[in-house]
Amino acid sequence: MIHWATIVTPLTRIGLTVQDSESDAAKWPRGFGYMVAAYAVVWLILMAYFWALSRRARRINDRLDTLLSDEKVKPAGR
Amino acid sequence: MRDLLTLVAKDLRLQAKTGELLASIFIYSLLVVLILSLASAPVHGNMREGIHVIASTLWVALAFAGVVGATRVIEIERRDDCLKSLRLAGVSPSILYLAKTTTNAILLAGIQFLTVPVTFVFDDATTFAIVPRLAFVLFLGIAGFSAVGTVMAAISTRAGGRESLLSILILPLLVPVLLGGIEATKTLLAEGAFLNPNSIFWLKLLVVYDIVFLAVASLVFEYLIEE
Amino acid sequence: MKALFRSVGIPILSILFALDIWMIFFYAPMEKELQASQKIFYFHVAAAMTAFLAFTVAFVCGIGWYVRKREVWDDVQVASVEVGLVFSAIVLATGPIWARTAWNTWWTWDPRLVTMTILFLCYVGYLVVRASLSGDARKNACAAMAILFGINIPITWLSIQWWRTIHPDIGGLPGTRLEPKMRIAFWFSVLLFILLFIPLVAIRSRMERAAKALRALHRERLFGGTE
Repeated sequence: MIHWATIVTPLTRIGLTVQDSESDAAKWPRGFGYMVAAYAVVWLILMAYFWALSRRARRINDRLDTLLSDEKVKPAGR
Repeated sequence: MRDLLTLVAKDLRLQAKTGELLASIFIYSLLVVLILSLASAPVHGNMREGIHVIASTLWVALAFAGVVGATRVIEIERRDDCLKSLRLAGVSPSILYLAKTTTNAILLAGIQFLTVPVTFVFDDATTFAIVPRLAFVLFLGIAGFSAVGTVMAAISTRAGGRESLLSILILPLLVPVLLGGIEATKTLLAEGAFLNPNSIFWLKLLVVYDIVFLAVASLVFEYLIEE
Repeated sequence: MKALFRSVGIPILSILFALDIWMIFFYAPMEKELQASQKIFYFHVAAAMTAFLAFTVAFVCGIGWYVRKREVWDDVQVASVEVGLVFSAIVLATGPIWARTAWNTWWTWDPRLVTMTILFLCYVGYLVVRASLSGDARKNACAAMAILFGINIPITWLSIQWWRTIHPDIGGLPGTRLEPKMRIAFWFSVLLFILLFIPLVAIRSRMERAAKALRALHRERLFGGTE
């Protein structure tokens, strides 16, 4: 369990300060790998949803096709 | 108003006659209390942790009893199309909802009346002066649970699911009530009154939550019992 | 419309997303304390705002269905719940990754995290119930759920102010306290997410309408057009 006060202090300054010196920027920025992973996860989630959507659309189309082709074989009604 | 009382009396008589529901929910919440107390036994003796255990045990037991109770109260009516008959008899849906919620709340209050002393014994509570105030907090919680439970049970029984479906619907929705109730109960147990602004805030949240959900649910209930 | 989206919309959105990624990583300056880990903020908060927007749209559609029973309310409702769930999934997935770098833990029992998870679970419950119902009963039940769960949205939004939370509070409206270039990148991300949200909802609700039409056709075929 983290004590909230120890963390909240630096966080209150988010966005207020900008990295200034060039020497800091030259270093590999902290948490860079995690960020790449995070954006990859966002991309994966979106792609998974697109895939699910297109699969559902295809299924609806397929069912419509079978329904329409049935019509040619059998007359409407029971 | 008379309809409301008649309906509540009818439901209570029905429950009293069998007694099965009350007994089974009571034993169920007893077991919940027992298991939670057992699971947290090592922290006993520590005042602060003890308070934490009592508060959470009480509310978790209430949550579980609320889920089971709400399903049963609605299910009784679903069977044999009783809801339809009641509607045909000219009872307004909002009244029907309020009646169901009241019945539910009375049942839950009965269960809590039995469960709270047991929790106090199991978890070694020392103060009894707080009981009226505790009853007030629990009442707010019970009102929230019955308000949400009744309307969600109308949905879940319709969907053919029982307690499992209902619990995924109402437990997330009731987390604010649970959190608020537990926080208020903790400060009550620690300080013996609602003195600090924090617990006042939680009480306000509970009151507002109850009123909002009662109002909204009594409006939408009509559409949920339509056949 | 679908063809138009495919031929024009998808390329434009892809280019805009590429531009946004560039803005986030290269245009917006590096934050001093959090360094690169602050970069997630642009998508995380934008996704959260879009998710809230989606659930609010569902809430409005729920009311719309009761006021005027048109199918479109139901179609758009389920579409925005589903898309809202996707965006909340993004929020919940990126949150722990950021937390690992900033708080040095994947997950803490912080109210903001809990309430967001709860909101997510509520709407998962919505889809579960939706899957097990059909016809008017489904539309009525879903509208009721969209309204009742919708009440939880402001609670989640405000949870950051009510509880003592370690989640960064961006101070009222998100982005108002940001450094100018960061603010531009942030609002561009928000705009982009909303631009993604609108066609997704449109496509999904058209799909729902097609599925309903298909079911109606199927029934007609089965029962000889009596319905």
